[in-house]
Amino acid sequence: MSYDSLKGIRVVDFGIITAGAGTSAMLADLGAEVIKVEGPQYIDPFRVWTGVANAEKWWDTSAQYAFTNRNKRNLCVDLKQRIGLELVHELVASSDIVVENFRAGVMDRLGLGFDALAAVNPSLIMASISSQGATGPYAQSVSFGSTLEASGGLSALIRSESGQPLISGHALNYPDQIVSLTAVSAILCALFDRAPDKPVWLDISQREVTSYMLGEYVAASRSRAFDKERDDAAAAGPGAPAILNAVLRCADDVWIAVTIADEKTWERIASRLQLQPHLPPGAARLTAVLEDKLHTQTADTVLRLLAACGGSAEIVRTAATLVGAEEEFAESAAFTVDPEGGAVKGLPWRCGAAAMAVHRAAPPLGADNQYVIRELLGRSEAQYQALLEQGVVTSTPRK
Amino acid sequence: MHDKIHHTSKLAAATAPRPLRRLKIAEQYGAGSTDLSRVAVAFAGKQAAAYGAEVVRIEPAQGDPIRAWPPFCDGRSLLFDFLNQGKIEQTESWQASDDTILLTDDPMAAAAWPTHRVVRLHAGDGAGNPGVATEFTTQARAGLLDIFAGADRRPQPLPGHQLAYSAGMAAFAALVAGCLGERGGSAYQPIDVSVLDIALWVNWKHYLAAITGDKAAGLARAEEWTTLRCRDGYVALTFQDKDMASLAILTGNPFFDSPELSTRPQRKKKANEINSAIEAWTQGHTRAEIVREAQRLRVPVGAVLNMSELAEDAQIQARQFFSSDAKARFPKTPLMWNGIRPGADAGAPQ
Repeated sequence: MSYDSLKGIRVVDFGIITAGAGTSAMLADLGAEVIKVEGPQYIDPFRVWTGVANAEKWWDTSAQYAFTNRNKRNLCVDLKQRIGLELVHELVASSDIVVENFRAGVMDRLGLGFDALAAVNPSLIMASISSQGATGPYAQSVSFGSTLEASGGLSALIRSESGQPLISGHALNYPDQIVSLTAVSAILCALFDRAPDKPVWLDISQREVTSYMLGEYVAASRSRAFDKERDDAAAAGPGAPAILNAVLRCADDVWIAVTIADEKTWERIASRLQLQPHLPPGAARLTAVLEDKLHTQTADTVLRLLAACGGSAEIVRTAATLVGAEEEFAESAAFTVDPEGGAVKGLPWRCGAAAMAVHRAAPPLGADNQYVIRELLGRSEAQYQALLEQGVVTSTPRK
Repeated sequence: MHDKIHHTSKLAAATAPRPLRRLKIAEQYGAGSTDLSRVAVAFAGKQAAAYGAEVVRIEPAQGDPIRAWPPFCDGRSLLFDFLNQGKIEQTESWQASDDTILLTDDPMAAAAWPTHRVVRLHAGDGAGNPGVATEFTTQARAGLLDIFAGADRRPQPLPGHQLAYSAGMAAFAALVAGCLGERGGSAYQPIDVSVLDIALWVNWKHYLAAITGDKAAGLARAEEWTTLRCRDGYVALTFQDKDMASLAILTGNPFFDSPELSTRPQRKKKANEINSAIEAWTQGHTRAEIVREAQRLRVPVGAVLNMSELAEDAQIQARQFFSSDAKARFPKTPLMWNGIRPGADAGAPQ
């Protein structure tokens, strides 16, 4: 297989920011023709939040938009005009998949809900990614990734030394990142089992995805005793059970993350550092003992010391030190460059040892209006020009 | 909305959808397996089983160490049970049919597989510091520990097995993509998924900040979105330019509607002042009161809930997201497929 699994599949993409746009970007990476649909009154918020203010075409300058909309085409159509909505219905009729991540109910009000679209395309696969799902008492809630970290149970397991639960904020908005993997998986499954005249509606709750990723903790919550055990397990750090997962501050003010898997590793470290061989009680005490011994050493020295004893250790990379790691990550499938030389997200796997190559940079607003209206929907040049004059299609947002 | 629910219920099959019912998948571990990547393999297999594939889990001769990993219930590992719901257990003598796809993190098992229908999980790219990559050190290496750091606190990890699960989810997507490609006439080629790559991919905004020179994006960054103490716990509140007037109404404090807080760069400079001012209001209210009022004004908000509180949550209950098993409330597949969740509410193999 190369990256053409979805060749011949067309996606109408109402996805925005990361959760929705990132989902359809992966479908584009896999060879689907993805047509991102924006409107002059509502463009992808990434264009607004992270564009270069005061640039001539500020809406086409966002690096975040470029990262999450690679390999796509772009249609900018006014859905408030009846003819605009009809054009999109026509486009959906000749497509296979619709992706959207508006608040539950918004697509219905726009005339683009599942019922309306399945009526024009009875074989449609539609993925709706929303805060809490399309049903239930909180279906209409407004949220961000970070508020879902709180309501999905993640924040309660990430606490500062003072006990304050933490959220990832602008820097990560973690649920936005993982929901796209969930959504793509479900869409691919629906394609695998696709049958004529059997539409599929995938109602994906971002909050549920967040809790699902903590499944073993959720399962352990049937009593207070289990809560205690769960908290202890979480406090021991992520991943497999270990004697210690901790960060140590080194003399050069760099943090080192260290995992000491078992007692034998600890004994080797204790011997090397001339510490008492018995294991100090509790992670906090053990961390203090290590930090007391190592805080006068540089991070490189500490890394070498721990590694020589069989400990796992890495520098805690920051936004500043990720820059220096570019060369190390050049071969990573996580990132790549588009044909215009801009850095973008990659597809996070390799196929036949090759990473996905981006063949099309993220499109400017309305870049493919003509292609969609003329080639896909079969309108004449005169009709296309009329649509432009009426402002039904455009390449400029209206503020 | 009601029409949609009605329509969808008409579409829904009587039983859970099993779109991958024709796929056969084997999960295999070996001497080359690591703690980090074996969780990723198991999570990928869990997804396949949830969507109806026949997933055969080959128990290593020396046993699966995850059986001894917390949390536990009645002596059983809930992690093991969560990861292995819906799978079939076999021993190493089991013979796979020719059309079976192998999911593994053991290089020897991958090399020995007779076809190219292989999905390989890797802990990292092998170029890092010595020592086996762990969930914790991989988060550090990819800059994820930087996310929850602060001027006054140590770097913190994401809890549980977030990277292994994310890698497992990516591996599952890649596996199905390979099957679709094969159906379209392309030969199946081995697929490789690295947990480190996933960690970087998830943390892409940090990487972008790095390459654009925004070094203030990380450790000890000014962050105006945070959790705020209230009468019975904490809430997380987020806001943008358009929400500032609502925030002023919510808190009864005109400070939030002032021109000096109208843009994010301005708010970042006053992050501590903003958070103190909001907290002055939240401390007098309960989480439920804050969520109700903020949602009324359409300000994004979430109460910080622990696992027990999640199980009591009206939304979780209305969508029947958790299993009804009295001993272990496993979350079900986090989506509805024409109104029904994929995946039987099945137990793990004994």
